[in-house]
Amino acid sequence: MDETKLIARAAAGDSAAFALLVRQHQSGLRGFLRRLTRNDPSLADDIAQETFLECWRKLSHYRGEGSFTGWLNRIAWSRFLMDARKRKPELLEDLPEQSFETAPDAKLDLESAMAKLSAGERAALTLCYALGHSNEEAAAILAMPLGTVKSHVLRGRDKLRVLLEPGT
Amino acid sequence: MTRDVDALLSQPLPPVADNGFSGAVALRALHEAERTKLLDQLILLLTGAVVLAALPLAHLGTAIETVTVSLGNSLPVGVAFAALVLTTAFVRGVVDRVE
Repeated sequence: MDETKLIARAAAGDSAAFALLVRQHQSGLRGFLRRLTRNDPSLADDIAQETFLECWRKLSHYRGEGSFTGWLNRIAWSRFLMDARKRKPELLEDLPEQSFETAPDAKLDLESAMAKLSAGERAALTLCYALGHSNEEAAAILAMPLGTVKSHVLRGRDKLRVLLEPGT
Repeated sequence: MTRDVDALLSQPLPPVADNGFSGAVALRALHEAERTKLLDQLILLLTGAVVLAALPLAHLGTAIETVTVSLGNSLPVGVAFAALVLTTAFVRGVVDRVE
Protein backbone atom coordinates (compact mmCIF):
# COMPACT_ATOMS: atom_id res chain seq x y z
CA MET A 1 0.00 0.00 0.00
CA ASP A 2 1.05 3.59 -0.74
CA GLU A 3 2.89 5.10 2.25
CA THR A 4 0.78 8.28 2.33
CA LYS A 5 -2.40 6.20 2.68
CA LEU A 6 -0.75 4.04 5.30
CA ILE A 7 0.22 7.13 7.31
CA ALA A 8 -3.29 8.57 7.00
CA ARG A 9 -4.84 5.31 8.20
CA ALA A 10 -2.39 5.00 11.09
CA ALA A 11 -3.05 8.64 12.05
CA ALA A 12 -6.76 7.81 12.21
CA GLY A 13 -5.96 5.13 14.81
CA ASP A 14 -5.60 2.04 12.59
CA SER A 15 -3.06 0.00 14.53
CA ALA A 16 -2.61 -2.54 11.71
CA ALA A 17 -1.53 0.27 9.37
CA PHE A 18 0.84 1.52 12.06
CA ALA A 19 2.30 -1.97 12.46
CA LEU A 20 3.01 -2.02 8.72
CA LEU A 21 4.71 1.37 8.93
CA VAL A 22 6.88 0.14 11.79
CA ARG A 23 7.83 -2.97 9.80
CA GLN A 24 8.83 -0.85 6.81
CA HIS A 25 10.96 1.59 8.80
CA GLN A 26 12.35 -0.44 11.69
CA SER A 27 15.56 -1.55 10.01
CA GLY A 28 16.63 1.93 8.91
CA LEU A 29 15.73 3.56 12.20
CA ARG A 30 17.36 0.89 14.35
CA GLY A 31 20.47 0.99 12.15
CA PHE A 32 20.67 4.78 12.56
CA LEU A 33 20.25 4.47 16.33
CA ARG A 34 22.89 1.75 16.56
CA ARG A 35 25.32 4.19 14.99
CA LEU A 36 24.28 6.89 17.43
CA THR A 37 24.59 4.61 20.47
CA ARG A 38 28.06 3.36 19.43
CA ASN A 39 26.69 -0.08 18.53
CA ASP A 40 24.66 -0.71 21.66
CA PRO A 41 21.76 -2.75 20.16
CA SER A 42 19.77 -2.93 23.38
CA LEU A 43 19.87 0.83 24.02
CA ALA A 44 19.25 1.52 20.32
CA ASP A 45 16.15 -0.71 20.35
CA ASP A 46 14.82 0.94 23.52
CA ILE A 47 15.11 4.36 21.88
CA ALA A 48 13.64 3.00 18.62
CA GLN A 49 10.58 1.71 20.54
CA GLU A 50 10.11 5.07 22.24
CA THR A 51 10.55 6.81 18.88
CA PHE A 52 7.84 4.71 17.22
CA LEU A 53 5.47 5.22 20.16
CA GLU A 54 6.00 8.99 20.02
CA CYS A 55 5.41 8.77 16.27
CA TRP A 56 2.12 6.91 16.96
CA ARG A 57 1.03 9.65 19.38
CA LYS A 58 2.02 12.51 17.08
CA LEU A 59 1.09 11.01 13.74
CA SER A 60 -1.98 13.23 13.41
CA HIS A 61 0.35 16.26 13.53
CA TYR A 62 2.50 14.97 10.66
CA ARG A 63 1.76 17.28 7.73
CA GLY A 64 3.81 15.48 5.09
CA GLU A 65 6.40 18.26 4.91
CA GLY A 66 9.64 16.42 4.19
CA SER A 67 9.96 12.67 4.10
CA PHE A 68 8.41 10.42 6.73
CA THR A 69 11.85 8.88 7.30
CA GLY A 70 13.25 12.35 8.02
CA TRP A 71 10.43 13.03 10.49
CA LEU A 72 11.08 9.70 12.22
CA ASN A 73 14.81 10.36 12.36
CA ARG A 74 14.16 13.78 13.90
CA ILE A 75 12.14 12.17 16.71
CA ALA A 76 14.82 9.50 17.09
CA TRP A 77 17.60 12.10 17.36
CA SER A 78 15.77 14.10 20.03
CA ARG A 79 14.93 10.88 21.94
CA PHE A 80 18.56 9.82 21.69
CA LEU A 81 19.74 13.17 23.09
CA MET A 82 17.28 13.00 26.00
CA ASP A 83 18.18 9.40 26.77
CA ALA A 84 21.92 9.93 26.49
CA ARG A 85 21.80 13.00 28.77
CA LYS A 86 19.96 10.90 31.37
CA ARG A 87 21.63 7.50 31.08
CA LYS A 88 24.87 7.69 29.09
CA PRO A 89 26.25 11.22 28.76
CA GLU A 90 29.52 9.79 27.41
CA LEU A 91 27.66 9.00 24.18
CA LEU A 92 27.46 12.71 23.46
CA GLU A 93 31.06 13.57 24.28
CA ASP A 94 33.94 13.80 21.87
CA LEU A 95 36.56 11.19 22.54
CA PRO A 96 39.97 12.54 23.56
CA GLU A 97 42.31 13.44 20.73
CA GLN A 98 44.65 10.47 21.35
CA SER A 99 41.83 8.09 20.41
CA PHE A 100 42.44 9.01 16.81
CA GLU A 101 46.07 7.89 16.92
CA THR A 102 45.23 4.25 16.44
CA ALA A 103 47.39 1.37 17.53
CA PRO A 104 49.86 0.31 14.82
CA ASP A 105 48.30 -3.12 14.39
CA ALA A 106 44.75 -1.95 14.17
CA LYS A 107 42.95 -1.25 10.95
CA LEU A 108 39.49 -0.35 12.15
CA ASP A 109 36.32 -1.26 10.34
CA LEU A 110 33.85 1.50 9.63
CA GLU A 111 31.55 0.78 12.58
CA SER A 112 34.37 0.73 15.12
CA ALA A 113 35.84 3.89 13.61
CA MET A 114 32.42 5.57 13.66
CA ALA A 115 32.13 4.77 17.36
CA LYS A 116 35.11 7.04 18.00
CA LEU A 117 33.38 10.12 16.57
CA SER A 118 31.16 12.55 18.47
CA ALA A 119 27.38 12.04 18.39
CA GLY A 120 26.91 15.01 16.07
CA GLU A 121 29.51 13.70 13.64
CA ARG A 122 28.06 10.18 13.68
CA ALA A 123 24.57 11.50 13.09
CA ALA A 124 25.53 13.98 10.35
CA LEU A 125 27.68 11.45 8.46
CA THR A 126 25.05 8.70 8.68
CA LEU A 127 22.22 10.97 7.57
CA CYS A 128 24.15 12.56 4.71
CA TYR A 129 25.87 9.43 3.37
CA ALA A 130 24.18 6.16 4.36
CA LEU A 131 20.63 7.53 4.51
CA GLY A 132 21.06 9.85 1.54
CA HIS A 133 19.72 13.08 3.10
CA SER A 134 20.96 16.44 1.87
CA ASN A 135 22.90 18.69 4.26
CA GLU A 136 19.80 20.89 4.57
CA GLU A 137 17.59 17.92 5.45
CA ALA A 138 20.16 16.70 7.96
CA ALA A 139 20.23 20.19 9.52
CA ALA A 140 16.43 20.09 9.88
CA ILE A 141 16.49 16.57 11.35
CA LEU A 142 19.23 17.40 13.83
CA ALA A 143 17.84 20.89 14.56
CA MET A 144 21.29 22.35 13.91
CA PRO A 145 22.45 25.25 11.74
CA LEU A 146 23.52 24.15 8.26
CA GLY A 147 27.10 25.30 8.91
CA THR A 148 27.33 23.08 11.99
CA VAL A 149 26.17 20.05 10.02
CA LYS A 150 28.70 20.75 7.26
CA SER A 151 31.50 21.09 9.77
CA HIS A 152 30.43 17.84 11.51
CA VAL A 153 30.56 16.09 8.12
CA LEU A 154 33.99 17.49 7.23
CA ARG A 155 35.53 16.88 10.65
CA GLY A 156 34.01 13.40 10.88
CA ARG A 157 35.33 12.44 7.47
CA ASP A 158 38.81 13.68 8.36
CA LYS A 159 38.82 11.66 11.56
CA LEU A 160 37.57 8.55 9.75
CA ARG A 161 40.28 8.95 7.11
CA VAL A 162 42.91 8.84 9.85
CA LEU A 163 41.24 5.93 11.65
CA LEU A 164 40.79 3.84 8.50
CA GLU A 165 44.23 4.60 7.06
CA PRO A 166 45.81 1.26 6.09
CA GLY A 167 48.86 0.45 8.17
CA THR A 168 47.99 2.85 10.97
CA MET B 1 41.63 7.57 0.67
CA THR B 2 38.96 10.29 0.75
CA ARG B 3 37.17 8.48 -2.06
CA ASP B 4 37.42 5.20 -0.12
CA VAL B 5 35.96 6.81 3.00
CA ASP B 6 33.16 8.37 0.94
CA ALA B 7 32.39 4.99 -0.65
CA LEU B 8 32.39 3.27 2.74
CA LEU B 9 30.15 5.91 4.24
CA SER B 10 27.74 5.77 1.32
CA GLN B 11 27.08 2.07 1.81
CA PRO B 12 23.56 1.50 3.14
CA LEU B 13 23.33 0.73 6.84
CA PRO B 14 23.51 -2.98 7.61
CA PRO B 15 19.95 -4.36 7.66
CA VAL B 16 18.55 -5.12 11.11
CA ALA B 17 16.36 -8.23 11.35
CA ASP B 18 12.91 -7.55 12.73
CA ASN B 19 12.85 -10.49 15.20
CA GLY B 20 9.49 -9.50 16.63
CA PHE B 21 10.40 -5.84 17.10
CA SER B 22 7.53 -4.48 14.94
CA GLY B 23 4.99 -6.72 16.64
CA ALA B 24 6.12 -5.62 20.10
CA VAL B 25 5.94 -1.94 19.14
CA ALA B 26 2.50 -2.31 17.55
CA LEU B 27 1.24 -4.13 20.65
CA ARG B 28 2.54 -1.38 22.94
CA ALA B 29 0.92 1.25 20.71
CA LEU B 30 -2.39 -0.64 20.84
CA HIS B 31 -2.25 -0.92 24.65
CA GLU B 32 -1.41 2.75 24.90
CA ALA B 33 -4.37 3.69 22.68
CA GLU B 34 -6.71 1.53 24.77
CA ARG B 35 -5.39 3.04 27.99
CA THR B 36 -5.88 6.57 26.63
CA LYS B 37 -9.43 5.72 25.52
CA LEU B 38 -10.23 4.26 28.93
CA LEU B 39 -8.77 7.31 30.67
CA ASP B 40 -10.84 9.64 28.46
CA GLN B 41 -14.01 7.71 29.33
CA LEU B 42 -13.13 7.80 33.02
CA ILE B 43 -12.56 11.55 32.92
CA LEU B 44 -15.88 12.03 31.10
CA LEU B 45 -17.67 9.87 33.67
CA LEU B 46 -16.10 11.71 36.61
CA THR B 47 -16.91 15.11 35.09
CA GLY B 48 -20.51 13.99 34.55
CA ALA B 49 -20.74 12.78 38.14
CA VAL B 50 -19.34 16.04 39.50
CA VAL B 51 -21.73 18.11 37.36
CA LEU B 52 -24.70 15.98 38.45
CA ALA B 53 -23.68 16.28 42.08
CA ALA B 54 -23.33 20.04 41.78
CA LEU B 55 -26.71 20.54 40.06
CA PRO B 56 -29.63 21.52 42.34
CA LEU B 57 -31.79 18.66 41.01
CA ALA B 58 -34.61 19.10 43.58
CA HIS B 59 -34.97 22.78 42.68
CA LEU B 60 -34.80 21.95 38.96
CA GLY B 61 -37.66 19.46 39.27
CA THR B 62 -39.86 22.01 41.00
CA ALA B 63 -38.96 24.69 38.45
CA ILE B 64 -39.75 22.40 35.51
CA GLU B 65 -43.08 21.44 37.05
CA THR B 66 -44.03 25.09 37.62
CA VAL B 67 -43.09 26.12 34.10
CA THR B 68 -44.90 23.15 32.50
CA VAL B 69 -48.12 23.79 34.41
CA SER B 70 -48.06 27.53 33.69
CA LEU B 71 -47.40 26.85 29.98
CA GLY B 72 -50.31 24.41 29.88
CA ASN B 73 -52.63 27.00 31.45
CA SER B 74 -51.46 29.87 29.25
CA LEU B 75 -53.94 31.01 26.55
CA PRO B 76 -51.27 32.59 24.21
CA VAL B 77 -49.24 29.38 24.25
CA GLY B 78 -52.40 27.35 23.48
CA VAL B 79 -53.26 29.66 20.56
CA ALA B 80 -49.65 29.48 19.24
CA PHE B 81 -49.69 25.70 19.47
CA ALA B 82 -53.03 25.50 17.64
CA ALA B 83 -51.69 27.84 14.93
CA LEU B 84 -48.64 25.65 14.54
CA VAL B 85 -50.73 22.50 14.17
CA LEU B 86 -53.11 24.15 11.69
CA THR B 87 -50.24 25.57 9.61
CA THR B 88 -48.53 22.18 9.44
CA ALA B 89 -51.81 20.47 8.43
CA PHE B 90 -52.43 23.13 5.78
CA VAL B 91 -48.88 22.81 4.31
CA ARG B 92 -49.18 19.04 4.21
CA GLY B 93 -52.57 19.33 2.44
CA VAL B 94 -51.12 21.68 -0.18
CA VAL B 95 -48.14 19.38 -0.76
CA ASP B 96 -50.43 16.34 -1.12
CA ARG B 97 -52.62 18.18 -3.67
CA VAL B 98 -49.59 19.25 -5.77
CA GLU B 99 -48.23 15.69 -5.86
